Amino acid sequence: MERAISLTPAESRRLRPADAKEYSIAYVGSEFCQNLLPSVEEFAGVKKRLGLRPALVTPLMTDVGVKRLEKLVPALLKACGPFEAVVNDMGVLHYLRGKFPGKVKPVLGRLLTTDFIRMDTAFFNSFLKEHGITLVETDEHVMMDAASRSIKADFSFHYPYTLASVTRLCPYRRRLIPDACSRPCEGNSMRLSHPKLREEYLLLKTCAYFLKQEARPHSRAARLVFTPETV
Amino acid sequence: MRTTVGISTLAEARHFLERGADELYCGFAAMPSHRASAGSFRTVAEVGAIASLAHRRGAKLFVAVNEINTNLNSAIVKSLRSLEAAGVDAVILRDPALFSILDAEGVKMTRILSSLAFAFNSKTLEYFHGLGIKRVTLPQQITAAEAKAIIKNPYGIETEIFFIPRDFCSNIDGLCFFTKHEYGCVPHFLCRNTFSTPNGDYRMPQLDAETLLGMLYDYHKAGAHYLKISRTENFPERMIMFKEARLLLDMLEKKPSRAAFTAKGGEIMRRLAGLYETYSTPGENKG
Repeated sequence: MERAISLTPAESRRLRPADAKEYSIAYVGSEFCQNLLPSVEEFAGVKKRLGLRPALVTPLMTDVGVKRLEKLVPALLKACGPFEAVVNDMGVLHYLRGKFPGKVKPVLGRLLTTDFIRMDTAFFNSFLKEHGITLVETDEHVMMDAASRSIKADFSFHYPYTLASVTRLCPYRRRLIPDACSRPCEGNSMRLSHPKLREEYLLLKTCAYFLKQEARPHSRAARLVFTPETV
Repeated sequence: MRTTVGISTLAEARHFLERGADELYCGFAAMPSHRASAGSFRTVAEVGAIASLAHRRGAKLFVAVNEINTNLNSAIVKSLRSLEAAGVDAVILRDPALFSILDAEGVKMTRILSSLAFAFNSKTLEYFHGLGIKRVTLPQQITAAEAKAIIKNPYGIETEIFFIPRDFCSNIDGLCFFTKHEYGCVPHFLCRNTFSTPNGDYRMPQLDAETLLGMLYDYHKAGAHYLKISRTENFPERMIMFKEARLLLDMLEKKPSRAAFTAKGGEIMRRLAGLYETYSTPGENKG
């Protein structure tokens, strides 16, 4: 079983090599905000400084985000060679698959998996094959239990948080995510408490809310992805 | 900008058509739909009667299949065939697998892409264009400036937006899993509570009326084609929303400045706020 750590760009710079030892892969970027794409230096730094294989993480994107990605991907390929990209947007998936087959290996991100895992299995399997996807991400034990027997792909399992909600209203700027920002979310995850919550807290990290879940690895997970509360 | 209104009964259909709705949409019990499923019609005859009523008034009727349930795919195909024969004009879809199943089964109904398919960029639109959509409902959390290329797409795909001033979630609809985690949505709204943090209180962001009215203004100016009043289970609330939407659209047709529209629109919203309070779902915390 592979072990990965999911990091925002600033976290990828802050993580100490000693804390990276148990992982072989570092996800860099964001599943939730297009303003958190890494720079070439941050992406390459993961390999150079931490000795981890970098994987690009991408969120739902507007055309502004896609344009940034169109510049970033060739630069990352030039600097680091072929890499894996966790994709959470259908348009981005088609762009990467069409433009960089064999160079950028798509992983189906959990925002897409949420729907795909509930779809017709024959369609899902054919979609995976057509898009060269061999790894599907989730944070749901129940979904994985149900799908792992019929889906022709390996599963990557996120822990210790399960996704509760995603927003494009920046929790820090309290407005729709602007085209450019100073990344006020970096290093500022928050524990939100409320008497209605059964869990101890709701974690706000970047522009997504999470609930803590049991951190046991799923028996069919080919990869475990750890998301730290902050680095 | 034309109007599309969600309905759950024949009386509701009549109400909105008499007040100028251009299109109606509904759910059908044999097919999965996102929220308000209790208000879905149970028989083809009921839906057919509404389609006839709509057509007599020059309007259209759509049916939503905007949730995913593989076990119902055969029932969906069968239902859509019957509903098309009964006069339903288009189907609102989310599931790419279902597009492919409908192709294989020869169901040719006009396809509208649900906001729950998350068309946040032109490349996603391009993908679904390949699956034959004629219209896209934009997710709530994208601005007209961000959606410019989607609205002006080269495929002739029409765009539809929600009635943003009253129908705008804190989180992305379809990617908010509080319900799955058994915290519910309407009327409990975990998202509208005040949370404690070590550094003080926290509330999930909401946009103010001026910002939301500005977004509506921008979409109108950018050329979005349709304004949608969602199919909630609260009919009185929808009646007020439709009235409010018509007032705002009438104002937009007169081409006011953005500042004038948001100011005057704000007055209208404040005037109608009391009615919303009166008819809100019991226990609902409007925050």
